Amino acid sequence: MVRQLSRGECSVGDLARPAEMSFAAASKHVRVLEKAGLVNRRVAGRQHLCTLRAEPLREANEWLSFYEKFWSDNLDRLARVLEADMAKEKR
Amino acid sequence: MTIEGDSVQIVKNVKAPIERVYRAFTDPDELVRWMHPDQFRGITASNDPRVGGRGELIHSDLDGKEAGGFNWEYLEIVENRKLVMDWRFGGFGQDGEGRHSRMRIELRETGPGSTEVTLTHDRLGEAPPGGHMGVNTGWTQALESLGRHFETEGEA
Repeated sequence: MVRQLSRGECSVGDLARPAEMSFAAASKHVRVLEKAGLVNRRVAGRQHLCTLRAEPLREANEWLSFYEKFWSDNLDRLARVLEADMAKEKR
Repeated sequence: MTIEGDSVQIVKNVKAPIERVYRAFTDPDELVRWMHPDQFRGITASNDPRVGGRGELIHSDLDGKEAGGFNWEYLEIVENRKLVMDWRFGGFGQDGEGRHSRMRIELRETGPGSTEVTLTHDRLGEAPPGGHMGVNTGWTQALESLGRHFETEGEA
């Protein structure tokens, strides 16, 4: 659902179809996303149109920074461990 | 270090022969020595480095309490040169709640007793850090916020 929203504004009906959900079920999901601050909803005539809020997703991208730091720290540790081994073997 | 799309890449030069670095990535006793988050330790690992073979690494916190880990399956192997793995959070039998990502390790000799390691962790778009790995990331907060919402809705 979030992936579909990431392509642009869509109606609750648009979200229900590919997920093979009833309109009511999709509407409930959207309400949850809306309350979590991930989705904005506006009413246009009979349609409820949903858009993804970019900000929380930008925060979500922090996980990439997390991995970057994680692997960088780990490779530093790998280098320390191996270089200590090499020094020991030389002695 | 680069972050591009949904992948991160780290390049690091290690002053050790290429075979030795390869062993550090494939020998379970070597893996536990270095591959763990800060404030955690590697406690057990097993590995079967052949295409289709699997491995796992389990962490504990500093008090020795088991805290989760990684498991992987080899997709491609060139001895002493390259390892490509399907990467998941948790121990064997756990697919990390469907959060698969791909890990690629490439080794290149840059001189006698000197090896360049290129680590590329990609397809991270659907792999927010799980369990003890995900402390303090925005994604964890977003999921927690969702979780809290479901809880309050359940009470209503």
